[in-house]
Amino acid sequence: MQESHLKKVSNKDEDIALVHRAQKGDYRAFDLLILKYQARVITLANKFVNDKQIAEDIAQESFIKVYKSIGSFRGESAFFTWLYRVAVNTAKNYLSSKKRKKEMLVSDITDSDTTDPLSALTTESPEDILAANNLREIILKSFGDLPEEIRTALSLREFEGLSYQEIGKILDCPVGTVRSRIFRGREQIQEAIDHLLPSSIHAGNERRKKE
Amino acid sequence: MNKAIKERISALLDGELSEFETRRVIEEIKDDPHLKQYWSSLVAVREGFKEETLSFIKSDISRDIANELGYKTYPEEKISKDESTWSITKSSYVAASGIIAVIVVLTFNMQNTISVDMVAEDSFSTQASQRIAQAIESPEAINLLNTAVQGIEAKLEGLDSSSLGMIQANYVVPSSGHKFKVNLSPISSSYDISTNQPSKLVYLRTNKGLFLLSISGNIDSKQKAKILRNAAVSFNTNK
Repeated sequence: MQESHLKKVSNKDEDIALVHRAQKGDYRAFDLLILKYQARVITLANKFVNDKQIAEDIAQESFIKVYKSIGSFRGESAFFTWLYRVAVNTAKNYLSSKKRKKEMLVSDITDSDTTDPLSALTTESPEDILAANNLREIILKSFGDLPEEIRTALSLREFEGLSYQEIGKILDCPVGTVRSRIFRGREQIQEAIDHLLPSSIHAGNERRKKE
Repeated sequence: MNKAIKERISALLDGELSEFETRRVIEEIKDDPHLKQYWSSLVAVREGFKEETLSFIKSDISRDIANELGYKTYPEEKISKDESTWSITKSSYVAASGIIAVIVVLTFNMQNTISVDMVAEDSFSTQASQRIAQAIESPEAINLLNTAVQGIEAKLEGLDSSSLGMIQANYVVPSSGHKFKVNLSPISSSYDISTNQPSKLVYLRTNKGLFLLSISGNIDSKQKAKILRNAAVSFNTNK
């Protein structure tokens, strides 16, 4: 399993302030972490199970496990690294459990029907994939249209994972300027894709309605 | 939403706020669901630089987790976007490839009315294709594209379709060689226009539905404003 998402961002955990707030009982901070990483965790889980609904369930279970033990998180690794490991273990546990169930099923049923009931479940739809590809296309196009100084600051942040301070040193400008440039870049891209994104609040409701 | 809080949210995403500032931002997000959505949209921008996670960017399990853990995070406040926007947009993607042929024909027949026979299937893609066909056939839409650039030193190079199924009129400024596009797209009538900045877009409600006109490319702000003004005046005059 590739661990491309574990690319270290600078020398510190960018989520540490939110984690500290969550450790102090502020669930809203943890909620922001969920919103920040849910797509990555679902993507990871989907690689194991190849089923969107199950991947979402595994992601949900992973976040719950992480939240319940967040008090023990000492920051020896980045928060996302920790979350990533929990998600990998949760997905593996799911597969082990599924395998056990399948073995039991095979031993109980002697006919030749070996259809895996789980395989009938749907994974990413072609529409989802197409929509994602087009969303990415717009994001990259908007990124390419950014003024050079903004594009440079944003690319150092997003592609190189540098901190604002490191970017400021490279570009020879104050940290405040870096922060402003990165914000302006994101703002411009966000405006280009805003109407394509569903409301996160509605999306949550949408999922529950399906169940 | 003011820019200062949005900039702080962007910095929080990068872990560049102190714990004190973080706490303040969380407090502000608590009071405004739009800020929480802004956080999510910045996450989407960030994920856009990674290829694989975007397929799941519209999944949201946060409320399920909160329920599971017994937390009530934010009020069930209706915010400005509608779920149907996403569905229509997705269908536009599907429609885009099919509509290219129509656009090619239009390039050579811009002033003529074009009849497009659509296969009558009750699917998202068909509906989206029909919307775009309606946009092309709409006299308001054609008139708009023609008159929006009046008074601007620009030459029409052709029409194209974008990945979103928009109609794009491609212009070049002969003296500078700069190129820009005037985009016209049919959008969901349930789309809330207040979510976008009116200075960059013009929304036109016609009997063929709601259209959005926007401009992109290498064009200065004065000319952009003039085109938008032309479009709005043209539409209001012909209404």
